[in-house]
Amino acid sequence: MIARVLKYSYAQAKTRALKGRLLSAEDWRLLLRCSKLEDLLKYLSGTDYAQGLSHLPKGKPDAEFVSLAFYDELFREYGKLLRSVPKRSSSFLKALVARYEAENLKTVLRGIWARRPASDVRFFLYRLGSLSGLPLGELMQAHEIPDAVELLKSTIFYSPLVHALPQFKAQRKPFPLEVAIDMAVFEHIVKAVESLGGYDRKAARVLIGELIDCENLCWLVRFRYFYALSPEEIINYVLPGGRRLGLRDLGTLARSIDLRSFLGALPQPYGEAFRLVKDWPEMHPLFQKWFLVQLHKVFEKDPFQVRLQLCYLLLKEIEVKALEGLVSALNIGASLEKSLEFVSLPVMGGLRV
Amino acid sequence: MFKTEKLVRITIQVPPQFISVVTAALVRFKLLHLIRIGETHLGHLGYVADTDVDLLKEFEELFKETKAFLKGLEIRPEPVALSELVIPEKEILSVKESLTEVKGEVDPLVNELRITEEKLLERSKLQDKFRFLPTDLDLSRLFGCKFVNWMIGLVPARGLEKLEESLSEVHYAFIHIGTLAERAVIMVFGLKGDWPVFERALKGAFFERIDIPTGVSGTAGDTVESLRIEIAQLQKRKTGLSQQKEVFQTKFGPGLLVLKEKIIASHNILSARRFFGKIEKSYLISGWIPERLYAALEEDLAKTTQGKVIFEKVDPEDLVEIRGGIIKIPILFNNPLLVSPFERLTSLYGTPRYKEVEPTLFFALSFLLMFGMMFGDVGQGLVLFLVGRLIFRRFYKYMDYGIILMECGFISALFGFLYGSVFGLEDIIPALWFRPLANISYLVKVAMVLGVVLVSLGLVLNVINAFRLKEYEGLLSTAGLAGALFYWVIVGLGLKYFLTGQLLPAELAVFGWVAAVLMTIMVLHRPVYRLLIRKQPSGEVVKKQSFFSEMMESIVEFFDNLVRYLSNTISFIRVAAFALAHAALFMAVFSIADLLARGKGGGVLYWLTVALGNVVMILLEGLVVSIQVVRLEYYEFFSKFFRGGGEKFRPFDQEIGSEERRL
Repeated sequence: MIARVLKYSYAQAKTRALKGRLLSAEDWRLLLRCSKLEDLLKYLSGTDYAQGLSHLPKGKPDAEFVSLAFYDELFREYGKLLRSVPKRSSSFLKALVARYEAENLKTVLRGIWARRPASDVRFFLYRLGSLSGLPLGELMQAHEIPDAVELLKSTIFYSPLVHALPQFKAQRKPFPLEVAIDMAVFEHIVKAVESLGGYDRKAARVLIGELIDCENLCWLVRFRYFYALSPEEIINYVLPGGRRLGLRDLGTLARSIDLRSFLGALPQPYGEAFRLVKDWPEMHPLFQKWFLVQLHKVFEKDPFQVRLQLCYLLLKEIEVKALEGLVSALNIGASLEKSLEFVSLPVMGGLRV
Repeated sequence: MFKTEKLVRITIQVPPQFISVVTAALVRFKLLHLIRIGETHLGHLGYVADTDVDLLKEFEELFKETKAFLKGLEIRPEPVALSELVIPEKEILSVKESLTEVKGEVDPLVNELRITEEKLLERSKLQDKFRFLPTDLDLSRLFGCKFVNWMIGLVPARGLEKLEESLSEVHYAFIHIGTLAERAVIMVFGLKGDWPVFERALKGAFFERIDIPTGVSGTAGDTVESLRIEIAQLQKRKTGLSQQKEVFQTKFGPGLLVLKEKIIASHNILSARRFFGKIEKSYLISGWIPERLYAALEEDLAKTTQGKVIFEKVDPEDLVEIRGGIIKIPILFNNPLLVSPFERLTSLYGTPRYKEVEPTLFFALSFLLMFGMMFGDVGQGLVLFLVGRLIFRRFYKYMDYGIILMECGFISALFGFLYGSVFGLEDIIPALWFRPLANISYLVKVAMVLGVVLVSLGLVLNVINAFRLKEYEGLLSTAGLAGALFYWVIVGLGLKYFLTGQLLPAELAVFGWVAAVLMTIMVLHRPVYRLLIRKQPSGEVVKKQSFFSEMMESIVEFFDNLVRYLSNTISFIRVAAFALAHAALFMAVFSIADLLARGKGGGVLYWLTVALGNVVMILLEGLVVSIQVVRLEYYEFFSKFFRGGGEKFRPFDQEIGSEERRL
């Protein structure tokens, strides 16, 4: 216990300080009143996002650019916490960032597939800096996807991508590669959890397990009801390592014929959490709301574990995604109140807009 | 040696038809520090030359093509020296012609070799997969199944469980035959009616089917055998093509390397034009060159252009911009081979100004002297020398470090003779001077004297710099001549006391008067300077608003510098301390060796410990001593006189090489 306290005392103080700087309910209330993207940015320039937003080019802000600036802030915080936690925990948090590395890799591969110039692709990439080990410069110079895959030999993505290449060639679309990348990154995270020590591992397993459950449910919904993929195919795309949803449960969910049977097949407490779902698109925000409650609860427990940093970073991530959602809504001229149905705000309790 | 190269500014006016010839000559000449016209008044008025962008692009394409040939023929891209002058406008045609000729012969070979290699790889992979099948597996019987479908292939091993779950609602059977690179080789069987379900599940499981040609008959063993024969044939074909490639390597290799260099040179010449000026049709090239080379360059260019270029040479002293400090004269070091490697260490501290004393020689000599004192051992010096020699001969890029290491090794060995130490053994040779551990107080005195000498040298150089840079006001300050005199008086008294053990009252009285005069000068140096040198009226000098604050500042400066001079001198005790630490470390090594020698196999262990101890000392202490010496040089010596802020001389070829987009 004393060793843990010594190891995490600085990290937990830092994390709590950072948590105190997350956008408050009042901030969100005011942000949701913005009718123009410029107003929203003006408000955010008085918050921690000011640094990232100060680099935006002058003139009318571009939604993509603005979103990337939000993510810059998230990665800065990742950097801060990676430096303050013990080495093994740092590797685990770094494995979490690999999700964004995976997104970058998918973007680059899509770019190669669509024969887009590197300058176009670069614009869409998360600016991970030293958090990423991907040879992005070389990747963007590759003309063919197999050539790009060869450049990834030293990364976690190489072997899964090599295995997915035959299907990519057969289907003539990058979808199998994208699934392989996602699966690789979550396998990497699960491995990183298992390499943690005692208390850290136990706590991280729970949260990561719930995160994987969330991902699996979202993918099931997306693949089954939006992409109309067959259950046999979907089952092969699910992620192992979920907390409450095992392979058998996911198989049953994938084969469910409608929303009612889907909800009926969900184990508790997810069944209860989704009780009010009336349509498929509501699943993700509802699960995220449920997950938010779990994350906030962690801050009332033993703080000398990596789960505190994990929870903070996931909260920050949800905040950034919520901001991204608002920016997208403003960009297409949609009402922010309406967009609340699809965006989860990382604050506890209700919010009057 | 104590001055940097004397430079002159030249401006060359070149008619357009000679610009390439002149640029090429300048690239070859190297020692020209280019002034970018774009950054001068002329440039701001728009008189900047442009370059032929299309021609540049053509060279870029040709470079890619040449690189592809070099890669295809596996020729090592070694740089070659060009003997002839490169003129891009003329070169483009001959380069194109040569590459077309190479292409005609090399392309078919490289393509065929690539196809053969691809086929070979594919067949080998197929063979690997087939090897997993039971050799007696009758493929013709499998092809004869009526109600059952089957497939052989690979799936990621970690996905097997999911595959089973996805097929759990239909009748299936699969046989796990083996594992190949994290993938399971499986045979899947299912009813023909359920086959769409299988196809969807296998698709999701990243199944890679092993294609067995439908016409195949016989067993899996037969197929492996036919693949083996096919692979052998392909291998033979590849060997033949590789031999042909070797012939082409000899035939085209040298030519391709020359072509590559010509393309790079042409590209450099073309891109350099962006830094030139252009008035009407004439190009304008401006820069700094060593004065001693001016005549040679003028003659060379006049010869190349039949006297069509106009030269203008200006001495830096005549330039208003230099006098006004608007532009700087670049610094070109001018040291002999054995000293020049230390220029790197001088530059690390800063680049001296054009008129400042160039301190590399002092740096080198004092560095080596201190290193030798701290690391004196014949054996270890010899090792350092040999390592330095190895670096010097084998690693061209790190030649400078090799020379420094050899010199350190030499001086270390020299002090080894003076201390009488060979790998720490003090009974092999006699000490020509003294043994550090036996004469500690003497060693400390030597270190202190060295400190006084180096600090004094720093103060002298500071006075010289003040004169050269015309900073006369500083001469009267604590950091100038007055401060130096004060320091020397104190050092003199100290020496007298140490040597005789007493100071006479008369000496103390003289010191008191001298100190009082010098202190007054140092405290009042600013008003005194204004009064005597600038000839300002006394009333104006005293009434100046900042008069008293200047006085206070000077008093603080006086005490600060006085303490600093003394602490700088005392700091040199570390030379003695490290020399002692060196000897003490040897003692520690020998004590450990003695201890181990008492056990079984002691003799071997003794010498092993001594050898290991020496290796650790060379690596660890060598590094520590070097750091200490550099520290003494920078903080105790350089800080006395070094102004810095100069601009480094950048040879023409490096300048354009760093600016242009890498080819």
